[in-house]
Amino acid sequence: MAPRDYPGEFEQVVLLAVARLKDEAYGMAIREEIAERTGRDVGIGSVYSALDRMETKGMVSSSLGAPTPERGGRAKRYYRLEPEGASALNRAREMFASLWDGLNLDQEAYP
Amino acid sequence: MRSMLGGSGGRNQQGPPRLAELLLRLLAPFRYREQQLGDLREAFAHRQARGGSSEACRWYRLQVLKSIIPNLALRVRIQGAPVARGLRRGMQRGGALNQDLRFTVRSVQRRPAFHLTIILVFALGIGANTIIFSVVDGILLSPLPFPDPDGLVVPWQTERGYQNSPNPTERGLADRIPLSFPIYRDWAERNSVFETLGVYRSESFYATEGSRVERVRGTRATHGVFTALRVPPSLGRTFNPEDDGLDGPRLAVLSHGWWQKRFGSDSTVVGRSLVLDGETYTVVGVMPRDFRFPDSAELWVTFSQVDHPMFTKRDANVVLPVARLRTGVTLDRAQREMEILAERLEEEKPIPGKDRGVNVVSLRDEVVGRARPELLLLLGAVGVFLLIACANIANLLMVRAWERRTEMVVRLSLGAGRGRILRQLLTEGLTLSAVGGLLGSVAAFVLLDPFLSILPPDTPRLSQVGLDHRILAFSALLTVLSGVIVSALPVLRMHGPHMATALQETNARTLGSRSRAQAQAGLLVSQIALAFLFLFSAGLLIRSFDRLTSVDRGFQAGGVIVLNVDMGGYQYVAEAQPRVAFDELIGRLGAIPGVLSVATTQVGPFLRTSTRDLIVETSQGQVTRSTHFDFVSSSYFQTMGISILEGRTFLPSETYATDPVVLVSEAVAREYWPNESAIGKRIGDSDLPERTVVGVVRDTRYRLDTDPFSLVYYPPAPWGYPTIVLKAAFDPTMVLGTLRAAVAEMDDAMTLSSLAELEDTVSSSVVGIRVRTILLGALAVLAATLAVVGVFSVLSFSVAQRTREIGIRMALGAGSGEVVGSLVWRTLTYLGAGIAVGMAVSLATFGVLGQFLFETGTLDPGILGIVILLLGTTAILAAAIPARRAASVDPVQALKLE
Repeated sequence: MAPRDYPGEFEQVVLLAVARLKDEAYGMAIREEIAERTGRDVGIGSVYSALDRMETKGMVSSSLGAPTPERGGRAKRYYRLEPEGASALNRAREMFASLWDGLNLDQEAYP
Repeated sequence: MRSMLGGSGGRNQQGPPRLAELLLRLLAPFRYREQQLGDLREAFAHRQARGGSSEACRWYRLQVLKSIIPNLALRVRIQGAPVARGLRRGMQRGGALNQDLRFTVRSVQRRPAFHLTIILVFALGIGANTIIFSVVDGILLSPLPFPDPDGLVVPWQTERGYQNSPNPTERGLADRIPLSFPIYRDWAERNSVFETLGVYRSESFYATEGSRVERVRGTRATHGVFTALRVPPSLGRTFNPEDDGLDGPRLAVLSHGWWQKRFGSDSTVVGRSLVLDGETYTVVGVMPRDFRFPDSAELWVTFSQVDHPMFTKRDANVVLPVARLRTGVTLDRAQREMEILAERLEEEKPIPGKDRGVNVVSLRDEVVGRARPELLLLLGAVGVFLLIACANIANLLMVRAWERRTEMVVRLSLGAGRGRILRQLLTEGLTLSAVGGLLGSVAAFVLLDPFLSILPPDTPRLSQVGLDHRILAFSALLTVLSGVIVSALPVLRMHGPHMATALQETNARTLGSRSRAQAQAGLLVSQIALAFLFLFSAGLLIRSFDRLTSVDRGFQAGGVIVLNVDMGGYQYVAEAQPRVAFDELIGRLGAIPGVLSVATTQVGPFLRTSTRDLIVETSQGQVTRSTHFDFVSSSYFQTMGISILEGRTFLPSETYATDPVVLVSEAVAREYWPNESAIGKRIGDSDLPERTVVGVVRDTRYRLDTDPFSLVYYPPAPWGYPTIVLKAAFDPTMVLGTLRAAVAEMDDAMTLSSLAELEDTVSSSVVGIRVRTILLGALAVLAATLAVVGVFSVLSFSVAQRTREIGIRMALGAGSGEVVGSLVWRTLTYLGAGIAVGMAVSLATFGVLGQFLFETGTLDPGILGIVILLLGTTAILAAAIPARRAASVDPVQALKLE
């Protein structure tokens, strides 16, 4: 990925959820965070698919946690926002900010 | 089983739905598999704690379904091209199979659309078979939910006098007559074939606790019912032999559900008392969660102290039997010995005017017998459909094999063994069928629940249906079989002289191999024949359904609303005057604007049926006949739109107790007084020996698929609370709300127990037939589509193959008309042969279909014409494209091709 590219919309959503959850960012927690904040009831597979994409781009990194009994003895995979991910989010935000600058759709041609 | 899929039961409280978990395990890429499974299990546990198991299962399955595509995409990304990579790894290791697979992948890559079509056709055929087989398996094949279910039987009484009766009511009863309590006693005491024999009778009770009145569906049962079914209670005990007498103790056993609802699963419930219909019963036990017999029972009580003559009369057949055969006793032997016993009893304690026999039926047949022909028809249909699909695919593969003959020959001449090539073709067929079968099974997994929801709700044992490892094994078997079938034909063509001549053929592009053409024609003809069979059967079913739903019912259902109120609570309310309240309600309903008339009926079309013995005075003297009857109010005929053919309806003042008058249906008048007026004739019954016929009304059907019953109408009876029927002036839905409010405004002891439009009731009575018709119709359209595609591909192939021959003929002066004509002629030959074979098969097998048809012959000429026209037109249209291609062959180009 060229450094000036922007993450996709769903990628941004997932990145932000990872950032919000800090040390507790694993698959289901991310899914629940998205569902709670945005009302989007996404499948767990989509979350992992996006995370995998972003891991290869260096936006996030992952590490395995300890297995817990309530997960049937399966380990969690924790994700961390990497500097590349943080700057991608910032880029996206700036891009939107500059596009929004001076616009107010409520008062213009779009009632 | 369903709980694996549907999660409706409580059996899965501990873990997530297994099949969904398995699917996720299969789909998720290795790197994330454990994480996803763990995440979902954790969230499942949370949801289960919060919202219960079924909610959690539903969520889990939805998560898995939503994750199918992302997970597949993830796999592709992680593993590059997953299949190709796996194959590449395998191929490095060498081995013939891997090579075959590599060839397969290459050939799919070369013709993706062609192979995709094949895979989809496989998926369609195998998916349809998987769904229908899982339904058949759950309903027909899986054992009843009782220990050692094979020993369970239902010993009915029969009435020989009814078997050839002109009266359909009597014929319907002839071989399944319940027992009377005294007969049950004698049978239980003296039979030598049953380990236990029990009887039961469903009743509804009012359970009261303080001022609270609740209706409960109960069943009176003897101890034999529980012993025969061999299900021990989860708490306390069931009934003992000494509890069975009519003078025994009043005891109750609770169902798990009612125990939970009413007693909050209190384990100290045994020994507590329960007031049912004002009588006190002692709770002695609770049954396990899964125990259902009969299906609707919420509790079971003893027959004790029911002070009703119907339990002491020898000819009052009011209890249903269930028994368990002694070890080693067969159904036949039970039948023979019970017949002997019944005859002996008949001599000792005869019932005048009756000729009773015995009919011992296995409980499984009793439960599922009704659904069996229906399900087997569907299973047969999807089986034939899969055959058509295989014929179609085999045809396509043969075309492909011919196209690749050069490749084969080259490989042969480079030293490949013949077995090697055959194996490769088999690998190709099996790979295609495996991918199609997998796709079909996934589709079946997703579509099973929606499919079950369109089946009629009264289908027996629907809750047993689900996908499990046996069903998947069945799909796998079908997949392998159909894979072998489709590869076998192209492979067979490779045998013998063909292999040797293949090389020469490559150079001499003249006529195609004659025997291959014959094989293709054979496949095509059988496809057309099967498609014809399908279309014709579906056409007959559609016409039959149309006749069934448009049959003259004798009444006008439009705008009629049927309403039942439950007055049972009144007897437990002090100073209640339920009769006054009921009449008051009728008055209020009649006054609602938009209601044209109100009437009452005890039975009513499509609602219930009721029969009794009548003594009829005919010109040949008195005869006793079992006849349907009803108690109706004076405005009933007007409300229902039943015309009065002769005489009059009842007067509003006439009642059953005070006025000896009856109305009869046409069928009664025709049967007993064929050539004279029925007015003034006499009919008697057990209550009153003589009543006078004052009117004759039109025959009405109480079910769509049976002839109108012989019906005798009495004026309103003083007992019970009849069903209320109303005729609405406009759209009946507009007054439903007002009706509901009118009942609610009456006092608290009266509740509305049902409210429906009669038309809805009529159409839901044929919902099973509708489903069957739609399913077969859809399969028929698909089958015909496949057959037409077959015609198209074979003709296209033959044109492509004969381009040079056509070019020569045109160069020698043949017009394009002649070329097109010969193709059309060939199409017509295939069609004619296919239809002829289809007709022959139809004639041979329509005995099977006949039982599903209503007033429709199995050789209905109209349907025959339509089907031939339909099949013919589409086949000729399919032939038109290759024909045009043939006509536009440029002779010069065609010859240059060499």
